Amino acid sequence: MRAALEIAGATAFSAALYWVCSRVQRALRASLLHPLLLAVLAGGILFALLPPAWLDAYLRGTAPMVWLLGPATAALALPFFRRRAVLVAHPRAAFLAVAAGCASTVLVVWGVGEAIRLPRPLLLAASLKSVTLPVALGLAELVRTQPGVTTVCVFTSGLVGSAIGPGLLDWARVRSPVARGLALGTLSHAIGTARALEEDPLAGAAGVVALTLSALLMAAGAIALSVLGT
Amino acid sequence: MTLLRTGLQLVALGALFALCRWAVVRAGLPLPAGLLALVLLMTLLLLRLLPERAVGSGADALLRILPLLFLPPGIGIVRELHLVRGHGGGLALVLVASLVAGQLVAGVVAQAMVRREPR
Repeated sequence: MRAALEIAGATAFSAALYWVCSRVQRALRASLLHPLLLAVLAGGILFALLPPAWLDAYLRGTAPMVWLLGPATAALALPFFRRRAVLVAHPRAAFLAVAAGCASTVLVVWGVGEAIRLPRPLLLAASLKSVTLPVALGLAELVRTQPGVTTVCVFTSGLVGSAIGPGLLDWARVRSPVARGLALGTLSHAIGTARALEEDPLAGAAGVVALTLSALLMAAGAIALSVLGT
Repeated sequence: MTLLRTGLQLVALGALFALCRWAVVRAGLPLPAGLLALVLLMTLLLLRLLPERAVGSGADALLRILPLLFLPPGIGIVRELHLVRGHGGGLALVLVASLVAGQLVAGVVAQAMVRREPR
C-alpha cells in the first residue's frame, strides 16, 4: 500500500514538475533553459530543503520510471534504423568521425582531469558525457560511478555542445551537413541532434546515426574497462 | 486501434528488456541489459527479421516521454553533492575542454572524409 502511494506520488510529482517546467521554458523562449534542466534544478533545490527521508521516498517511488529507461534504450534502435541510409552513404566518414571524436574527448577528460586531480568518479562521469543518457546511466552502473553526476555531465555536454557547436564548426570550416550532424551527434547526442536538424534534415539524420554509434563505441570501451577490472 | 497497437508494442519492448535483464543476471554478463536489448532490436530490424511497423509506434511513444524519465536520476544528484563539492570548477573545465576538442576533431575528420568520397 505504501509502495503504491510512493509510486503514484513520485510519478505524478515528476510529470507535474516536468510539465510546469516546459510551460516556463515556452513562455521564456530560452533554448538553454531546457525543461529537464529547470526541473532538475527546481526538484533538486526542493529536496535539498526537505528532510532526506522525502528524497528517499521519492527515489523509491520512481523505480518504475527508472525501469522504463531499459525499454526506452531499446527503442533507440528505431530512429537509427530509419536513418541508416546516412551510414550506408557515408560509412567511413561516420565511423572515423565518431571514433576520433570519442577518443579525443576521453583523452582530454583524463589528461586535463588528472592534471587538476579531479576524483575518479567525476572523471568516469565526465567520460560518459558524450553518451546518450539512457545508455550512459547503464554504463555508469557498470564502471561504478554515480547516476546523478553522470546525468549532469551528459546534460551539460548536450546543452553546451548544441549552443557552441555550430559556431565552433563554422570556425573550423566544417560545412558539409553530414559532417556537422556527425560532430553534433557524437558529442551532444539527442540535444545536439535536435540542433543539427534545425540546420538541415541531412544533418539531423547524421546526428542520429552518430549518437547511436557513439553510444555503442563508448559502451564497448566501458565494458572492456569493467572486464579488465580497473 | 492505434492505441491498442501502441500499447501492445510497449508491452513487447518491456518484455524484450525484461528478457535481456534476466539473461544478463543469469549469465553474469558485464553489460547493461538495456544496451543488450538495443543491440538485439537493431539486429532484428537490420536483418529484416522484424518489420519496423511491429515496434515503431511503441518505440516512438517511449522516446517521447524519455526526458521525463531522466528526472529521478537528475534529482538524485542531491545525494551526490559531496562528490562534486570543491571540484565544481574543475569538472566544468574538463567538460567544456573535452567537449570542444571532441566536436572539433569529429567535425574536421568527418569533413575531410566526406570531401574525399566520390560524388
